[in-house]
Amino acid sequence: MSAPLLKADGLCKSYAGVHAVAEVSFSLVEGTITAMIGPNGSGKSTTVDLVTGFQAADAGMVSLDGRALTGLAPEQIARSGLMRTFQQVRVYDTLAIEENLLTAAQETDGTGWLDALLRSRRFRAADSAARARAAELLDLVGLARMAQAPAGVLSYGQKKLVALAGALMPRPRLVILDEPVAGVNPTRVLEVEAIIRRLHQAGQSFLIIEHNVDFVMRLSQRVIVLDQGRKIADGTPEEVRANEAVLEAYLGTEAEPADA
Amino acid sequence: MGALDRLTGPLVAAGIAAAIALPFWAPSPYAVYVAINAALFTVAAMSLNLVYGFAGLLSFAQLGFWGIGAYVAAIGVKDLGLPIIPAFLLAGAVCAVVAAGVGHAALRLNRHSFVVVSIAFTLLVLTLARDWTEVTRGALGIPGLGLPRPFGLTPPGDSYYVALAFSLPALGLLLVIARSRVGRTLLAIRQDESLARSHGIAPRAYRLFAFVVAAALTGIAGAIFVFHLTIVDPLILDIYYMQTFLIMVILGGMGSFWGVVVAGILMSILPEALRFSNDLRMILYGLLLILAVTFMPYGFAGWLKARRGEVWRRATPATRLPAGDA
Ligand SMILES: Nc1ncnc2c1ncn2[C@@H]1O[C@H](COP(=O)(O)OP(=O)(O)OP(=O)(O)O)[C@@H](O)[C@H]1O
Ligand SMILES: [Mg+2]
Repeated sequence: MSAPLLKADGLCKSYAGVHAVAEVSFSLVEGTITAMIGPNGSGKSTTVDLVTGFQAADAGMVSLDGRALTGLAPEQIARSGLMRTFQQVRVYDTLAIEENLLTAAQETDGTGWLDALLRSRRFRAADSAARARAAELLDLVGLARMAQAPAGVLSYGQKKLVALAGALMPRPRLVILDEPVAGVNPTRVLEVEAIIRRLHQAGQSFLIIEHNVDFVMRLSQRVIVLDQGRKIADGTPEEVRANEAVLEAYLGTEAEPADA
Repeated sequence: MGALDRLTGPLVAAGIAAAIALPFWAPSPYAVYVAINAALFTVAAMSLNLVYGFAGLLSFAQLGFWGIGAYVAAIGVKDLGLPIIPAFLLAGAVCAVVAAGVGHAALRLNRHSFVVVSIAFTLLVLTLARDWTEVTRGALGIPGLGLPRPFGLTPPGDSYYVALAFSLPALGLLLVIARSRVGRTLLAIRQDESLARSHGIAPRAYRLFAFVVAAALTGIAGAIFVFHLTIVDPLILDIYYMQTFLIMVILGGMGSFWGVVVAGILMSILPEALRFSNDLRMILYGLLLILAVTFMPYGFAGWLKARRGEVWRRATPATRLPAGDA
């Protein structure tokens, strides 16, 4: 097998004695959807932060396409092709939805500040390409009619879609979604699932953090399970469903994987 | 707001024409004098808007740059024997370099520490103005300044054109920045720095750019202002100026270009028209700031924008859109 798309090796992070993430290692294969699940406080979001540079790991290494990401700033990691969304949905409220998307891709479109200030030919070309990409993605998530509305007027679930579309804007190597359907109306969860499926068919790789185990089991080829900062399982959805340690972890926190 | 958008072009053209013709229709030389203040204060306010309204940095250093520009130009002309325009350019360049140095260090701090450092910086400039007497001549200041009189108009007509020859291009530059992707990026950083970083944006580089541009323009505005006054002394660093710039930004709307232009002009004219004393003005400005922050935290332009958002909300029933709220 070729080199993994993303490789995390021995990631550790403690807060005043609490081991939020302890010796977590995993690698992702290009073109797949991998899920990361685990009870509340099991270290999922912290792992995302360590991988994307938003927090510094106490120990461990991360690489994307064989290139080390360890020690890089979050913006450098984003520019190298690893995009993420946040568990607490984030959008630029006063910017139009289209502008939200354009902002997400501007730093890697090959134009500089001077291009942008002078609206050079290169800038105009990159700008219209970005607008076309934004239109395509807004169409996909069903917000095309709202493109010029400020993102602040959107509902929570719609903001999550804008954040997802933003992460996809620069055609990243990998997108990490931290709970893309948490707090989203159950009838809409299926729509998000369909969107992710279509993107995956087009070749997009994903790492999806979720509490909604059904959602994740349907979508992913592989599931990683964390509990109390440690990786307790890593395999196909079927393998993970049958795993004793996983059942125990979920029963222990009074949330069953079947309907969490 | 749509109608207002369409009117912007003609309104701006009419405004510029009226500004250029002002000495010929102004009711009195005093009105032209007020217009000089308006031209220079509006540039300083818009520079503060770039730093505060766009980049999200409440910077009291703007007052320091206003003073540094004023002193550098005065010393350039009086002690270094520079012609006036190179002296103004030197003022802008010195402010830019100082801002790059201060910003490089201070922008590593969080926003709150940045405010404190920006105040400390301005207090340091004030101390230098008062106590570095060999250079600044202390409390006595540097008198005998004056703007050129190329047209020989009734004073202060020529000074007005000098101010305008700076202010219009300066505001044009600020408009280009505000409307460009750089301006949009600054707004994005102000709203959510973490999100911006997740999008590959390096906040510090953008903020430093805003800080340096604002310092250079504020410095030149301060320089022209003291040459118009004919003297520079430590009073150029009076908190009154900072309060004036700040109130223009807050009433006009943080992050709004035209809102701050209108507020800059109105807030230069109103107090003069009402003939307030300086003390009364300080008190009223303080009250206005408190009222504005309480009831219109995003200024007049922000209030208009919020109404536009309401229109979108009403126009789009949530049921027809995917992924509604839980
Ligand atoms: N900044 C912090 N300071 C102290 N403790 C923290 C901090 N961030 C996270 N923790 C702790 O680290 C552990 C892991 O948190 P994390 O947010 O990674 O969990 P999670 O798996 O994402 O949980 P959830 O499903 O609730 O989102 C928790 O015990 C949490 O309380
Ligand atoms: Mg989490």
